[in-house]
Amino acid sequence: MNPLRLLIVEDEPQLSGSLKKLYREMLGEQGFGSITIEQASTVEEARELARAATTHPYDLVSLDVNLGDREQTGLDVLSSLNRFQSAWMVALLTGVETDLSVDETMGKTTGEGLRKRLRHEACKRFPAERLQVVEKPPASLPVEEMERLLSNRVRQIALIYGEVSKMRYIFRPIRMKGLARLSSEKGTKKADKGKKRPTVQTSTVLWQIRYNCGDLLTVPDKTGFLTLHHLLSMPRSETLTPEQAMALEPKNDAKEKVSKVAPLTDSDPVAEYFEALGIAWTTLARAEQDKMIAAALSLRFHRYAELREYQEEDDLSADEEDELNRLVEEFGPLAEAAEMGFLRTTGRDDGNEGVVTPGVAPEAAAAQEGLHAEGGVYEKGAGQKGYDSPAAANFRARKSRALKSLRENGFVELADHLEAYIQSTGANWSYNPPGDLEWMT
Amino acid sequence: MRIRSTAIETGIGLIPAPIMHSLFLPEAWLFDPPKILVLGEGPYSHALSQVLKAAHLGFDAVGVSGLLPDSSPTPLVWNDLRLVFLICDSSHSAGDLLASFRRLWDQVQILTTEQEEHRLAVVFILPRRDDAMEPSLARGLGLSEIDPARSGIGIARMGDSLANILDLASRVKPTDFVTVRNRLASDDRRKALRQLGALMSDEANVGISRESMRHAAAEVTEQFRGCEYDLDLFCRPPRHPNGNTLRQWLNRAVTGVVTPLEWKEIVAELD
Repeated sequence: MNPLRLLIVEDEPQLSGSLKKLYREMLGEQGFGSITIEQASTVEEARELARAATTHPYDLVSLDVNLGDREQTGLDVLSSLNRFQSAWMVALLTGVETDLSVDETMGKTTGEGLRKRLRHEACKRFPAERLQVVEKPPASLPVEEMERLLSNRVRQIALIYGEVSKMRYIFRPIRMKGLARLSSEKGTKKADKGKKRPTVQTSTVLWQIRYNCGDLLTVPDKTGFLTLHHLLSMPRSETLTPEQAMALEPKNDAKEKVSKVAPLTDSDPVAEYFEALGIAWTTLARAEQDKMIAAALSLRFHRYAELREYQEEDDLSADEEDELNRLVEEFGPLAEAAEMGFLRTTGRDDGNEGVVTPGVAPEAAAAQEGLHAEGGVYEKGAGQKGYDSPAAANFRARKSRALKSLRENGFVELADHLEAYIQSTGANWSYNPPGDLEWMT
Repeated sequence: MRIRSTAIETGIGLIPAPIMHSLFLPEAWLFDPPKILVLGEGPYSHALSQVLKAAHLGFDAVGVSGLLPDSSPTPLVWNDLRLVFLICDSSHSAGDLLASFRRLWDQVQILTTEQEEHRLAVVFILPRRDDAMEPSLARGLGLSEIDPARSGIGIARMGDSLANILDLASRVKPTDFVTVRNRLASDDRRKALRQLGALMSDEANVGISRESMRHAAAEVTEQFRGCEYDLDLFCRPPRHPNGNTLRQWLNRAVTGVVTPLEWKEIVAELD
């Protein structure tokens, strides 16, 4: 039996009691056995509960629009539930839909407009695919008829919740088609510059991620996500070897696009550059030389380091690649110095000044940071060290990068979950969460 | 939303570097986010911020009206902010204070994760001898009276002791912008002005007075009976210190004929 946490927001005590009884019955029919029900009768109370539920969200919220508050309505509670991601699905109970007095006092056209406006407002404040707008039976009906209608409507809410909640966890690639405008070519005639640039169809693979109450359409870092996706979609009894996992990933072409740096010749271009400025380069200590280079590169080095970091992560867009190449050209003789500075600051250099894990061979230490074919080191247990195969080291690095990307985009809970339940048996990897967590992949 | 590794990860959330924004953000806030803020000019506000070890901003440095909360990148340096003191000196009117209050909330929505649901307690510190300002402030805030335990606002005077000011601040129940906005929207005076503005937008091309227009103008006049000068508070800055034009127009709308040009001018006056 699946557990379920329900919040009923209703200001009429009798109706609140009926709803509690009906939801328990109807959700039980859908297979939800352990149902925890909380109730709120005012807007302020409901908003407080929404704020408090951010770390343990409600599965379903039954929310009345009119809560007897002069200043606020259930729509404000809906905004809070969305802001704090504290409800997976909301059933918004309105009285406008079937309240004939609205048409009598305001006219049918205005009544229709009011209903449309209410739905429109509700969908602006909460994801439409997880929102049900349901009519309350009018109070003017006989009691038996009203209870029958209410029972039908709660059954409908429970049924839809049961179906839609199966899509609560999604982790899948989707292909989005679009249009991109081509940049104007050099040498374009002046007369032609006013004309619209041609467009070209594009097709991009994005990631759709939904975990609990969080939704995201895309995450920029693809590397590692294909592997996660494959792990999540495999049957629980199967495992994935690191070699199979690495075969899934795209080839890291970006690593082959190294900076266009002229190799050092016997005449040091950096020394020549500074000597030409009147600086006695060869008389300076190494630390002073570094400072001179940093001053010369200044803010452009910061941007260079950023772009190189993206390049290492295989996350460089076309514009950024152009910018990186432009920077390298601008640096001129200082380009190699900039590259050495980047490698030093990120611990990727093999020299003595890099950040190297003590007691570990330099090649293995370098493999810890990114994708390196020489193999890696990982902590096996307290004080112990194990050695990965190259494929396993790559897999581990890609997994870490994918989890870091999820955390940066706000999916901390998902990243923690994956980190906890993607497990290694030494040679193989598997995904083993507890309970009935089902992924739609 | 794409948060790149340009962000520097700190305890208060990802901060972009460099910060490209027109907000005034002292660099110290990036590493020590403020919990208390003093807004105001002059020695009193500076002294109060020093005594409370609070952050300090002048009124001009607050608010970027028109900037949407989703503008990015912006460092979320006000996530810990819980209490704001607005210091009014003798040169400020109630309208000035309310304009600063509104800009404060604009900035809260930009600089916090919870945006319009971020809770704040606000204490206005008024000049010692200005008894007219408190009721004007209340009317401008859509309140019949300023009750710290319910409104999220407290009123103190410059002559009050620090102990009393802090005691008042502790009794102010923090509220968020959703509550403030809804309170203003349900205020009868604002409703009457909104009704009048809606009618004027529809009838701007009509050159004769209409009964509905006269009735709406009369409703506004009735709402402000006895406090006509508070119409200033509902005028768009920088006209808010002087709403005489609006008052004259209302008088003519109720008793005589107004022209379309005058209607258009008045629509521009109303906040």
